[in-house]
Amino acid sequence: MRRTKDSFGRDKESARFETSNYWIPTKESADKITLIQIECALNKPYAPLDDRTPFEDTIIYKNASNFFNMCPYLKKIPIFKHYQRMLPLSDKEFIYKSVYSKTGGVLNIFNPKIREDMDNELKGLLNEYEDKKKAISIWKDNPSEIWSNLSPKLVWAGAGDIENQLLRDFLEQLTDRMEGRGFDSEGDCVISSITFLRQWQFGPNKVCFEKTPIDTIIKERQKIYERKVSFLQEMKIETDFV
Amino acid sequence: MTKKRKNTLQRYLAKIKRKYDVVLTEQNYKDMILEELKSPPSLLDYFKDYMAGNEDIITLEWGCLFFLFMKANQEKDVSRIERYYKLLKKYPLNWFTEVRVAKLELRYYGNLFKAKDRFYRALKLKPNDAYCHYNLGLVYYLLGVFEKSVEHYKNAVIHHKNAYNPGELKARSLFDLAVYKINREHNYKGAKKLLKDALREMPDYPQAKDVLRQIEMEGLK
Repeated sequence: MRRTKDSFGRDKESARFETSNYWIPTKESADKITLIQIECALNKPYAPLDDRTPFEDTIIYKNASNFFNMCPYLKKIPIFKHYQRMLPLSDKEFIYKSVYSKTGGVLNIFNPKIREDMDNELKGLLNEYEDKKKAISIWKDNPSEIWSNLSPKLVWAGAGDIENQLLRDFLEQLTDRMEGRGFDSEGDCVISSITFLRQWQFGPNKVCFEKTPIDTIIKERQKIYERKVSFLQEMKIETDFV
Repeated sequence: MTKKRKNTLQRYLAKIKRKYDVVLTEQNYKDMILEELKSPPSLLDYFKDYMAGNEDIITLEWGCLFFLFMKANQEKDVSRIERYYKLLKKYPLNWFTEVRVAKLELRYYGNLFKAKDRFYRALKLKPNDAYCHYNLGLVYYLLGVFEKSVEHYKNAVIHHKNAYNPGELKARSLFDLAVYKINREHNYKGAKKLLKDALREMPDYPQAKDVLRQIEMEGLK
């Protein structure tokens, strides 16, 4: 089986991530994998952007031309529209609702698209507190059922480079485990995949020097969150996630 | 009753007679349904209460639809389960149809969020129901919300006697708790105890035997 290495930043011409080499249970999860890849790419600092991330550069210049000039081939690929949609080109990025446009990363790879009306934790807090800001400030820090126990602020921060490598590791292992297996229904197939994901997230992993993916992902997202918050404060931009 | 509803009812009755050789009437439909639901005793009690509590609302039409729902469920016919579930919506909700549709959301469609909401709704209709707790344990495990998963599995163990297959449900809950101990806490001693308890309930449980053997072979503590 051919495996495609994604080396965004090292070799820009091969920055596309090919999902076709992997066994993936549903089209929805295949689409999500592409979005997770983009999320990782937008959180990574690049030398041509003066070590800024595309997220930061887009906010500073209020457009994404530096990033797209750095990788001109992106404009020619079908997923270009996703890059445009996921870059912080409007103030909507900074309000709490923007979390529902994030992927949740590898831990949420098989979850459906999340909508605000599915967020029972937020609903509960909004009922409990008259002050909406207070409710949101509590909500953003609490582990959430709709994001595999990640807090909304860490989902908003997004995935990073290590999570990207872990994603690939997971897909390779999933493919080895599932390829050629028969399933009774789509549900059976999804449940088998998620069961494997939950087992994988607690196992020591070579990608993160024998630490567990779950701990590594949380640590990396926390770093990305802190970098984003400090950048936004520097830019004097207010966000619900602080 | 309008002429249209009368015709619909006649159609249901004819279908039940033709397909299952059963004649439902105003006089017998409750007994016929209770006969189908006699095990476990807690289910029979639940439906006796349901019928008594909704005496003025449920009708022979409800009886036909519920009977057809049960048969569709036995035959594992997804589209008919969904059709009769929709038609039963005009009557008060009951535990049986809710858990069947919840199971469909989980096992057939793999939709964890819808399954979770439906199992919760079923649990409200039949508090402490072990089957709902077991499935919520599984759904929360799959959602990656492990504390809640453990809580529901423990409740399934506590209330297992009201389940259809009490021994099996208890064994499966204990096994899943053992898997959590291994994966999350690396507590092999605790897992071993849970696996032994699971095998006491269901001696022929290959997965439990395999995991226990693996722990013992590798001398994990």
